Amino acid sequence: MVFSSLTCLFLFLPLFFALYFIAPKPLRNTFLFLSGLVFYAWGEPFYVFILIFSTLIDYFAGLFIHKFDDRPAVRKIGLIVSVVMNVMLLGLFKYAGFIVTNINALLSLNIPDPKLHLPIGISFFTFQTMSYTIDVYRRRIKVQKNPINFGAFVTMFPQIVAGPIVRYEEIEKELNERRVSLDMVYDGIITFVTGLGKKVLLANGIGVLWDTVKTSDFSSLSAATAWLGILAFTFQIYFDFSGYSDMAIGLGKILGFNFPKNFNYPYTSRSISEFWRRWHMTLGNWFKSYVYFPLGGSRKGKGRTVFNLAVVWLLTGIWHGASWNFILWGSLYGLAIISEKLFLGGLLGKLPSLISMAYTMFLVTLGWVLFSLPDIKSAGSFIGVMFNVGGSGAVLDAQAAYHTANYGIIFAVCIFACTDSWVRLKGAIFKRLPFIVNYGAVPVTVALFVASVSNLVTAGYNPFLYFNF
Amino acid sequence: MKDLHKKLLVTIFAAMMFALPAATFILMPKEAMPFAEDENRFLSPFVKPTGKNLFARAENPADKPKSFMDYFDLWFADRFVMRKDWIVLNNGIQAAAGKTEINGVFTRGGRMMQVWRDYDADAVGKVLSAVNGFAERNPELSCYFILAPTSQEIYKDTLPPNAGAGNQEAFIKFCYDNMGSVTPINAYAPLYENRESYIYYRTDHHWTTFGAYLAYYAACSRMELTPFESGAFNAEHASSDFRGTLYSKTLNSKITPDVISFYTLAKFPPPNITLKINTGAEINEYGSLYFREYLDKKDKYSAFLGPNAPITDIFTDLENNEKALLIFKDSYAHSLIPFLVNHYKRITVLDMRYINTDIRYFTDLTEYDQVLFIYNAITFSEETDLIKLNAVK
Repeated sequence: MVFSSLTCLFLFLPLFFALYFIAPKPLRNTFLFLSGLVFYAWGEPFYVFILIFSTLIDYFAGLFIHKFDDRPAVRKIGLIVSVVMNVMLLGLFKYAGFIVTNINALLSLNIPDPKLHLPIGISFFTFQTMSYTIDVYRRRIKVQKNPINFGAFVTMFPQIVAGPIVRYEEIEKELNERRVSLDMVYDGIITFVTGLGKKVLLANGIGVLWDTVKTSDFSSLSAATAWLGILAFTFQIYFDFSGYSDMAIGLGKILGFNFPKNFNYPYTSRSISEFWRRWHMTLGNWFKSYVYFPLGGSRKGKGRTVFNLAVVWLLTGIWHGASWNFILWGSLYGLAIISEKLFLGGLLGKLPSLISMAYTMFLVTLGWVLFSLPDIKSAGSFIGVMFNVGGSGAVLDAQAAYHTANYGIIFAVCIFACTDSWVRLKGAIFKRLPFIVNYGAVPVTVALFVASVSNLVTAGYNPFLYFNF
Repeated sequence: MKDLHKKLLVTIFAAMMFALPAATFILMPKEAMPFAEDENRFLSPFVKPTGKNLFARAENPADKPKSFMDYFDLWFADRFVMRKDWIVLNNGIQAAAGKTEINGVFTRGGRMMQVWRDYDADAVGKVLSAVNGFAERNPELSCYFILAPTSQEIYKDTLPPNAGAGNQEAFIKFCYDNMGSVTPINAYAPLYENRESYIYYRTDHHWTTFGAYLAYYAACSRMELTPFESGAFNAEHASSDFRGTLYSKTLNSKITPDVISFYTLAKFPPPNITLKINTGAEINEYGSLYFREYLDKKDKYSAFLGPNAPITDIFTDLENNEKALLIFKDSYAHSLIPFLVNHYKRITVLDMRYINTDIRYFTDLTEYDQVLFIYNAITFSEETDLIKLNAVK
């Protein structure tokens, strides 16, 4: 199920919250666990068993590691089983087709492609549960002996399909004991509705433009149309993904959980390194904690640092999808970040912020071409069109003018909404006239919700981009 | 009261989350597939869960639903309370945000126009060669073609700038240039000259009866008929609250509803008519070209000869007239045929969209003198069913 569906908003959520708040506290985690399975099975009826399987393995791995606390060699087995199992699940369901295709091409073999479809959210929940066993092994957290509480951690519906990747230690306390306050419910509703609006009104709205552009014949496009198209995708993916994270965080708050922040205005970054500290932060933190730091981080000399970064960025690329596009995409980010670490960073710091922001957004936007087109060849020819090679030959044409007229307003709203201007403006007004901000929030939030629902009823275009990861 | 605004917001949301689904279930229509008049479509039915559809999965979110859950989502969304108002609100927001094209419709200058951008010359070429082949293999039949522009073409000066609208004039010329022994009839010129008159519906994709009359008049000179002047007809305003197919796509009620007129010969006695409609399942006989019961329904254009049917056979009691006409058509023909009945003993109308056999199973081509193709530019640019004429050797 996805949050931005009428079935979820007006059947699942009311039913869930009614039963959840009626249920006595000791039963709430049970309910959270079971309702998460229903939520997941609605979109993934068969593979819900993979989710259950993965949950069970990690639960028992945690117990095992804990039980053999004083026998280092034995407890390591628990860790290895958990990590190998999770990586194998990912390998089988996410990468098998890609690996087989490439082996076949390389060795002229004909191994059949298992053609398994990707279980929704598998990249999120495998990473999430791995963080638990690794942290139990490292003795950072206490083992969770209650299978229901552990199950609730993995399957709770707000974050099951598209993150944020919540590490066990971040909600350990709240899993066992949490309080819901009016403040949290209020904040939760506002965060949820903001996310819904980002997803439905902005991402879906501007996504239509990218769909039009990417499905047209590239040789008929002007450079301006190509740029408008990829900028549309740039906004679509940000509002889609950060909108989903907001909805998850908002629902978490209503339940009494404080999930980690996942986005911090990434499109205002002044370097690629900063961009990745602000974009999908929970993934970056995961790789930092479980790959980069264990490899030695930046404390083992320049050469080793470069190697460690290369590993992390190759993995980040692959995490996003089983295709050469993502490998190249991740590698290029790795290259940019290594360059910034070695020499570019100092230079960027001295430049005016407008220039360093332009540098960042230029690379990020080019990166999205690789990200959103199906293969490297089409990405290459699209980038060509952006620089007026292989397109219609025109820099500007009637089509670009028409798109600008049709999407100008939504572009303007997107630009405004991806900076923190709104928050600063609200803060400034609040200082003088708190009353306006407090009471203004009520009609604004309701209006945003009503507008989003009207869009969902009319429906048509409602894909979730980060579902494929 | 402390934190009043917080309590207010939480209460409003709690109320909405429970009231909207409750109202949806209370007000839900009882039928399995109710017809949504405004949207002009049947709402999705409830599909019961089965062992199979519970585990089915559409490969692509954009694909047709396969699983119980997909069907359920559609079923619920289609019945959501105040569905029409939500759509009107959404389309209003889209328009306010600068979108000039909503659901494939331009709304400009007080009228809605179906958006058409392009055609596939190869695909259209195949259809044209099927038409030409049919004409060549039946040299005893004189074949004619009316390819009508739609309102987007006639009112192209009102379209949003740079809209990239297709050029139907060029498309019609392309088709007419590629017609062998088929005689093209120029409906474009008279329609364009009369663009200040009421020749297209404002809320529907069809031409008005007067628009059809102009095409009829143009056809007469090529088809060796003596047309009746417009003054010879009595125009009856059968309905003045017609909201057509384009309204269904936008639900924009700001555009004035349309008037449907029936033109009947007044200065001369009109012929008596026998209408036999073969729906594929049965053959029904009627005494009029007009189905007035549709004037009380949403789909008022069906008052002309009824809804699309595979075979419609029209007989008149005209004296000293033994001429018979065979028509291949889309729905643009429905308001034009009432003019043609004044010139023929028999008119047989075939809608190839609903015919999958060799037409000679049910029509004897030697009984006809003339063949007329009537299509509008948009449907003809997407036409594939005429290729079935290749089977008529």
